[in-house]
Amino acid sequence: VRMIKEVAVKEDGRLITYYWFENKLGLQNVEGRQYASSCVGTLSQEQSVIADKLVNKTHKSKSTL
Amino acid sequence: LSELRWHPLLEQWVITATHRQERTFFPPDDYCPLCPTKEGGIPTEVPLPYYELVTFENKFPSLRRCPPEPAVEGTDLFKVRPAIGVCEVVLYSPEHTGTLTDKSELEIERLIHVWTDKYLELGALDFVDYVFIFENKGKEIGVTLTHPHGQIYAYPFIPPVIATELRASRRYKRKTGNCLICDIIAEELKDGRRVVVQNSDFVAVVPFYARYPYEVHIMPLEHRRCLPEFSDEEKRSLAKILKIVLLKYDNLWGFSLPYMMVMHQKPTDGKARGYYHFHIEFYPPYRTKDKLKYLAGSESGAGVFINDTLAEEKAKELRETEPRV
Repeated sequence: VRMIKEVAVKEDGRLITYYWFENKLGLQNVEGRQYASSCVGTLSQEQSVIADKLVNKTHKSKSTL
Repeated sequence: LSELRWHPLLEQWVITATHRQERTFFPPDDYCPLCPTKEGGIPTEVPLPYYELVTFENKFPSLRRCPPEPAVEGTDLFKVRPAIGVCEVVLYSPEHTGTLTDKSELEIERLIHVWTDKYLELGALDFVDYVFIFENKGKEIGVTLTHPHGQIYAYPFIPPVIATELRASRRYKRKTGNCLICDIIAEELKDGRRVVVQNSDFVAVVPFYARYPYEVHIMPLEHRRCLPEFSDEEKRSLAKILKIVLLKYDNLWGFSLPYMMVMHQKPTDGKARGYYHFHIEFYPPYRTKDKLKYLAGSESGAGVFINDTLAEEKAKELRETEPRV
């Protein structure tokens, strides 16, 4: 399963994560995601960078396995 | 206000989260905060007009990444600490109606991949010791938003039920050299009376020790501690057996059966816990078609469940219920 994950920050600072999947026909759903992203400018590059920082800042190097 | 208060008698944390009294309670039909935001419409929790699967931090969380300081001062006896953690909502679908049962095997498989990713992501946070994935379904369980969704709580401690299972599993391993749940599976399969359904990688049973009449546990046949240990093929098998159990529940009496679905995995505190075995537990609140099982005096006050039914009979009922769509 090919899964694309996008983290964004909502207006009030909460994180939201979108998951998009490739289907058997190829990139249909991924294209759907691009369509959605272009409709609303929520997933701006700036917000994604903030989200990455928020997620990474709180990560630690412990093993979960 | 949100804080953790220590219960010295039960030796467990209680989450005090008074702001949750204000959470959305059965919003009107024409506005669902979990639907995608329509063009020109009132903003919802999901700003995009379309999504496949989404998780987001709960607007009324019991635990937060940056919690406030406790409102009261603790003492040696009455310990208190900030309610640090993460509470997320998992939206199964952009469609407002329906349930997890209505999702295809492929959609459930994708959800399992999302659960796996969240287990890893949240479990890697330094303040998270346990990632608890669950779903409350139905107003009988207290659900206030009907849009199909589940939840994830990333706790800063190992919850007491999991801690008990860990202790039992560790003791059993030391005593016998075996995994407790591997042996439970072997005994359930040998007996057979409580098996609801089985596929190449998983078995679903009403366990010998069921506390709820229609309680079902889904367990991997191979020893696995957590979702990331499953292969893609095993995740597909898990989706298939989940779908069958959910269909059987809904076909049992011809209505969408409410339940609590809880996922028990190894903690994410960095310890190996090789003796622990992943499983999913379902607790439907109905004991008959029109009677609820309440957690009353014995269950709530003494921790002793009284099950008015035989696991062998309930498993037979579920086994004989067709998983038709």
